[in-house]
Amino acid sequence: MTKTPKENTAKADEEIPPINRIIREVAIDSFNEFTGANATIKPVAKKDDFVYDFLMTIILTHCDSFDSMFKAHFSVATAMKITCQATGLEPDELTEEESIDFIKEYTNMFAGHFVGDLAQRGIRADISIPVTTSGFDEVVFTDIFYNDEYRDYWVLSFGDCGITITTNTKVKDTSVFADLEKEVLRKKKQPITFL
Amino acid sequence: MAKKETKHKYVALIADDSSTARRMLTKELENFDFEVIEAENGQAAWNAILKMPTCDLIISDFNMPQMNGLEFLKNVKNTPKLKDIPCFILSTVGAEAEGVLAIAKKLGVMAWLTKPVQAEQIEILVRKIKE
Repeated sequence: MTKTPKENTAKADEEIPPINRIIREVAIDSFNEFTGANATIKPVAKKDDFVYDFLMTIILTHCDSFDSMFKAHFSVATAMKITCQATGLEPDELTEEESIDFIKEYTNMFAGHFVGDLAQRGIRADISIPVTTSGFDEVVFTDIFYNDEYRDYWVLSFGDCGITITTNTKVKDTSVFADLEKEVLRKKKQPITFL
Repeated sequence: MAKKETKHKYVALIADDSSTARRMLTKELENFDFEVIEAENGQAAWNAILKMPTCDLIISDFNMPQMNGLEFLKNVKNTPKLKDIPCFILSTVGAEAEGVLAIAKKLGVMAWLTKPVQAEQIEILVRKIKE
């Protein structure tokens, strides 16, 4: 059987377009820094399927060259596990709302760090406020590039649970690709900037 | 707005639309003898500080609904009885990426903190305002 290059198996880094690779790297680094976990990326096995995990948080990043949407699909049980691990609190010390807010704050953290990464490449970007909704089914497609849009989906995996991440990035100016190829240094534990 | 009913030496106001971020920051500040007043956005923080008899520290998130952190701190700095309160901006975006850093500096914001904030950073910040 011939392997379709567009299949999102993500076995090798070189198969992943730079914008998707950067988003993946920033998403994992942000998650591990925020939660103290050691999460990894797990490719989604099923193709052209629904992602349905009851809750979804979405955050947008906008710049002159592209618009990007980052969505995290998760369950309350997963949110509770992550929040407990990151904060050291017991499940009975947390409300469901607080744990859902924690995932929302994670997506906010991702977007902020993504903007920082882009700034180092000379790209100025802005972010939205994250929003969480429930009952949202999303169809994911195998096509990585379709209709001027880079798509990606994968599972942010840790322990026995995971968050399904889907991203859509609509490129408006392809000259941005040169900037995305630049190497940048991602700082961990950023210092306080006294003004 | 939620008020913690305990006796502390200092009072801090935290503005952040994330309840978990507020909770984590409150926990850290309480270790340094702060009573913490929490607000879920800039507007709520502005309403809160006008009613507070005293405030020794303000930490405000930047990206919030209704009124962002910089708008809130602009109000604070333009109010004579509040303008000397040490103010800090907290953001998921690093200082190098925010175009508003110059505005924050002009307003008299003391420092820019990048999330996630570490306990040792809170210690530095508290030491700074106690100097």
